[in-house]
Amino acid sequence: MFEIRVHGLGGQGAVTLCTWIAQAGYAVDSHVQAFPFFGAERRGAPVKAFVRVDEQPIDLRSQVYRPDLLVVMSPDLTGLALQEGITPEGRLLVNCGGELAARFAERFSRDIHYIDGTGIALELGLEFDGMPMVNLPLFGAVVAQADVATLEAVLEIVDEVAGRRGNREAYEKAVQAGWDGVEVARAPAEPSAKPAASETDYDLSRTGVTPIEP
Amino acid sequence: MSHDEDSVGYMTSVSRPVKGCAGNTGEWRIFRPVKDDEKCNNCLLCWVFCPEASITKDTLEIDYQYCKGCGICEVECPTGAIVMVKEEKR
Amino acid sequence: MKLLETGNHLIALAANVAGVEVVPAYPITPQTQIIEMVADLIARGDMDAEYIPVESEHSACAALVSASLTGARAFSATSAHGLAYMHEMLHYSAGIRVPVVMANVNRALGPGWNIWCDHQDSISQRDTGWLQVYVASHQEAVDTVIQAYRITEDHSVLLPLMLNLDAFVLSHTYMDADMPSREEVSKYLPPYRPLWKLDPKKPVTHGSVVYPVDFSETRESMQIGQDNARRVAARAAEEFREMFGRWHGAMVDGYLLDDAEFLIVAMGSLAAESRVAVDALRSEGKAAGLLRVRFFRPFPIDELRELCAGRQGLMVIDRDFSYGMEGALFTEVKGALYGYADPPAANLIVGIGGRDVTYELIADHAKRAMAGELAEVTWGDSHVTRAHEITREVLREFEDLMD
Repeated sequence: MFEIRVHGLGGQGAVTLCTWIAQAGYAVDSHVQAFPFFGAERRGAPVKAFVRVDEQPIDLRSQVYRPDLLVVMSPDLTGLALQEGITPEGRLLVNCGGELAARFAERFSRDIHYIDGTGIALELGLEFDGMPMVNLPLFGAVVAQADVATLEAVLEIVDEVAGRRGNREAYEKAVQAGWDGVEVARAPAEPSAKPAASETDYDLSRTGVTPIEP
Repeated sequence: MSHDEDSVGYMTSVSRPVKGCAGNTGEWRIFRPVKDDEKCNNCLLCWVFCPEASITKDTLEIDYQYCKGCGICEVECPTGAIVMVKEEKR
Repeated sequence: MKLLETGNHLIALAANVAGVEVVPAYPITPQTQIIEMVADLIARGDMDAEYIPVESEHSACAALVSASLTGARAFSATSAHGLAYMHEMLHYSAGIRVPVVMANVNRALGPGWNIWCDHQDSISQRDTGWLQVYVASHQEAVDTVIQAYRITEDHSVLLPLMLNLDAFVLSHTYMDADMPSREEVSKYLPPYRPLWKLDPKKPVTHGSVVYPVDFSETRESMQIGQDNARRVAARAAEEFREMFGRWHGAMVDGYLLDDAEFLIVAMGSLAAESRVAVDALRSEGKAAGLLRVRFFRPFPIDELRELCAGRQGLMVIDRDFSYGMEGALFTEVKGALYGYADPPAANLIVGIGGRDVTYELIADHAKRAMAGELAEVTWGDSHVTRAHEITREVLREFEDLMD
């Protein structure tokens, strides 16, 4: 089973992104599950959404606390996202540029996979209700990193969405740029001092999941 | 947890419309309606309001087997053609 | 046809392939997607049914009863406060013996206002005479809609069926499922053939006064219908497996029951999560198994007596509470076992108001229960929160005011 958790801000398309990832996994005959945490659905508020992909039918119904891939659509949420858990060998993918990724690598003492999805979306003029459509480049990036589907499956899903909105070429370019464009900022050889804890009071202790120190 | 063939089985609250399902309600009568055909203008209000459907529509005859003597027809009649009269035998 | 859809949309699509002809409904979160989809299917010409928008859930159920009494196959959907508002008509629809099916998306009842999952809404309607099924997956939701009409419309049953699916966990989650075609389903589910119907050609009054001399029989008859539903549901599930190759259990479903010394008993999506908990316990060498109660009404009395006998312990998970007593499923399980089997049993109350429940939490409590360390009734995920502090602050502010 491959588990993904996405942290974003309301309006960035985190929920849609997770649905697309599930569709891509489904297109290559996997069993899939995609769901957000439904809360106050406000623009700009932190949003969490989850995907599971497996060869077997999926029995888990709980949220994803130990993702194999943790996706952060807004870099401000990186500390919170890590605090809510990731598998020890899990990969962290942040929507940001190389400079910020290098700082995160040092601060959190771990490899940071990154892609400037916001830059790609803006360059291609992809905006939706005044927000850059970061979920398009991230869709390509996530599926490539998670290795849960093919590029063809991803492009087919995006073509269908683009067909409804009539901007197919830009959509495909955004996804392709995401698929090809993930880079890594390596963790420093010498771990830095203990990283600053995120400023949240999220309590994992009652879910039965032991929190992992970021 | 099984029920044999003689048990209650499927049962629901269905009833059929039949004449006189409450018995000979005419026996309840203390006052009987008497109709004056001279005054009657065939407006059918007595037929509409009779709660026991004891007035026939085409002839406006009163069926004394089921008329329970409630007097609604007397109240509703606009020409005073129906008058309630005490039953002789009571 | 394979589909990737939300549980709600799958329910609507399943109602369509089941040949539903009338859908009276009133929207409520988290059920709205179901009736949106039904309305959409009808508007697109893909569903040959009458959609009746009504002004309340009470009216929705009244229209549901009326539609069914004319001989139509009728379906509706609701949730939580909507179901509570229907309460009188739930008794009515069972009493008048209409074989309707209604999806209830399990949601907490307020206050505090809460749109998330627990089973308080449907458990509170336990004694209305409705059959109640709790599903654990999207595929089971689809297949149960289709099986449901086979069960309710059987002339030995003729009672309404409530299909319960967990809010958001199932209703709004996208999962893959197989949707049979209308043609395939019609081979399994023939058109509704009522025993009788409301028809101007043969006028009858239905639901009129019934005197004490006849009333008790109408109620015993409902219980006979419930009892017959056990056999009919088992046959419906068996024939479904033969035709479609899928099995979700009949009255109950089991996982690793054969050699299990300890059983987790659960309903709905928590039972799916409990399968993973059983795997985790097994990997630690603990002989755990899962007994999933699929039908809550009629209650699987015989199955529980047979399957719980000889076990070393039970942990019954309730996503509901009968105030002043304990979890409702716990009471029912113990009641069924009385005089037949007597394993030590503990009650775990979790997932109330949509609290996320992990398999780790379930496995952890199961281990405590196996060790005899779990209290008879345990609120497993309840703890002092920021909300407690706010309540206490407010109470302190009131102290002066109340003097």
